[in-house]
Amino acid sequence: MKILIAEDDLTSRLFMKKYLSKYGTCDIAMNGMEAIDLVMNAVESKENYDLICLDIMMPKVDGLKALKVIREIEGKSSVTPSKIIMTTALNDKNSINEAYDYGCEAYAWKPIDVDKFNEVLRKLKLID
Amino acid sequence: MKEKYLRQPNIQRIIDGIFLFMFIVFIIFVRIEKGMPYLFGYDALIASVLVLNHLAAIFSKSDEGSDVGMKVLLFVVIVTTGIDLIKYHTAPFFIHIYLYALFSVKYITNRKLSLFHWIYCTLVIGIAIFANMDGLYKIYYIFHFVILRVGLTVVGLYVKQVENELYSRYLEQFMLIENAGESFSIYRLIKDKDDKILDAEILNVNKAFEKLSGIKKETIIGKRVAEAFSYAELPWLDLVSKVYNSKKSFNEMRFITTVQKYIDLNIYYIDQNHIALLMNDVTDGIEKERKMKTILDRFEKANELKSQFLKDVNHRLRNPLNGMMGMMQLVTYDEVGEDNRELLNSALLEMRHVRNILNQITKYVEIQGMDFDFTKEDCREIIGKVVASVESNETNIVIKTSSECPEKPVFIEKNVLILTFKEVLLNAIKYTKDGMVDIYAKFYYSEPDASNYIRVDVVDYGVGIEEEALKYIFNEFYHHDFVNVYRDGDRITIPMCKQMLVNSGGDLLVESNIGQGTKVSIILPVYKD
Repeated sequence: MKILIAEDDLTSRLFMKKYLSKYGTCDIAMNGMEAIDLVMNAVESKENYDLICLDIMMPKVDGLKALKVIREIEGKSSVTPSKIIMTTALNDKNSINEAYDYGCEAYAWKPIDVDKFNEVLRKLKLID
Repeated sequence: MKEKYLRQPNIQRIIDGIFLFMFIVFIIFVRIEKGMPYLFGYDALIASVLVLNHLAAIFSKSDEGSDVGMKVLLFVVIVTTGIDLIKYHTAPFFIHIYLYALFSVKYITNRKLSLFHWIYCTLVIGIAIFANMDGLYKIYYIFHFVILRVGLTVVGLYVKQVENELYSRYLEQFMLIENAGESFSIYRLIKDKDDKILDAEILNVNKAFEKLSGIKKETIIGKRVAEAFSYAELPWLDLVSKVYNSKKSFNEMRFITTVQKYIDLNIYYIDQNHIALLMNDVTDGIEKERKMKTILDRFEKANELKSQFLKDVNHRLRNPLNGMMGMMQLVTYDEVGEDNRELLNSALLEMRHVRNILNQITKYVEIQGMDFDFTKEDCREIIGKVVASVESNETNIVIKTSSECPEKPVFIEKNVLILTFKEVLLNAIKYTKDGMVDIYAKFYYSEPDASNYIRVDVVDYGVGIEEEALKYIFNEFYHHDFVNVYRDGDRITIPMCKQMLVNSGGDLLVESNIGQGTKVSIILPVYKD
């Protein structure tokens, strides 16, 4: 599985990479702008990401804007859209609703519970 | 003061009508008699002026026309009487005619004039009786003056009575108004011939007006507003005209810079010639309201800052916690020695505690910022649905709604009821014996047209709560079992339930007996309409 982790916090980034590495190769983005660039490259090379974990609160371009742009990029190409899970430390229902409107599949509230996250991955048929 | 307040246009007109009638009768009588050469001289002139004056008094809308007529008539009578005395040495008959005109409402109760007229009429009647006059003419004279004098006396008595009644009523009202807290003033409107308001004469003001304006009444009574209050900033002429034309009172609150106060202004239409002005100093009330608003704004701001602070702290703690918990969760047991597994588990458990505390803080902030929305709902249906959502094979939940539980929909805060009732019910199910939980729902009606409330009692038959623990049951951070207190989803704690209910005008009560069980009562206001 090809995975993109967009997270500005160092420790969270390390954790997510270590956690998800067992399921596939992980690329890292430290803000929404980098995430968009990586997705664009992946789409151009016809090897889109299977899973994208997007943190909502990020500098330069936040997760919600990045999600919207990523879906637009995917929509203009013929690649299979990636499964996007939003991660957030805020329990902001408005942001979460907006994320669902833009096309994310799920959201995980920090601190992430590994067992529950695995359950979500199974539901999205990303892992067995 | 007494003369100025009294206005009886209808009585004035009646008297003028009587005089006119009698004068016309006199003229007709004289004409029938013929031989009264001077009728076509001064008499005609005076008669014309007199008739016109009375007509003006009858049909005029103001007193001014009548007053001018009186002055013209006086001038004519003086001149003609003078000429007659000098030229013809005749009795000043025309003085009598002038006296006719004089007897308006203004003077009919004047004692000196009445006495003078009594003497005059008596003299004329005496002369008529003993003079060498034509019989018919004599009878007319006697009849005319007797009727005139009697008529005037009767009317005078009536006017006097009305005057006294009005005056005593006026005094009563005046005393009330004079000593009233509100500033009161009364004005006579000054209009042009097109009925347009030009100015107003100040008839009277009370003590409160003096205090408010800082002006003594003696210096302004009788003056025109434009003169007395030349510095007036209000477009008062426009306001008065508006009231006069619409015949409706006017109300406005504004800041008057001259007196540096907020004044509640009321202009009242009294009649076509008078208006009244009532002013209330509301500065204190306005300032108190402003202070209260400032305090409330500060309070809301402080509350917002508090909520924002909690959100920020919450957010800032979650990221490092995510890192710590995440890393801990990824440590596999195989990599950790047996001795260290207990340490690892304890560390993870405590991190979960911290996570749950953060979740409670988040929920707490949510409740603080919650908007309460009353919608029309069927309470029985709400209770039934919540029970259905938590029922299972292990539970034995019995709903016993009393006959007083409202059958028809009522206005209630639905979300609060659902959240709190569900939480309380889940707690009851957890702690009860054999899954037995009884629910009693009752509608309480306190007073007509007042708010009512619904009370939902959830009774479990578990071990009960110790008295010591009961004291702290609503203390948000007293719980000793943080791991199990918070679960994902919409679960909230008992202290949060209490807070939500209190915020929406209700309450949460707990009674418990060790070994018997616990009753938790949800009280929530409902409104019929």
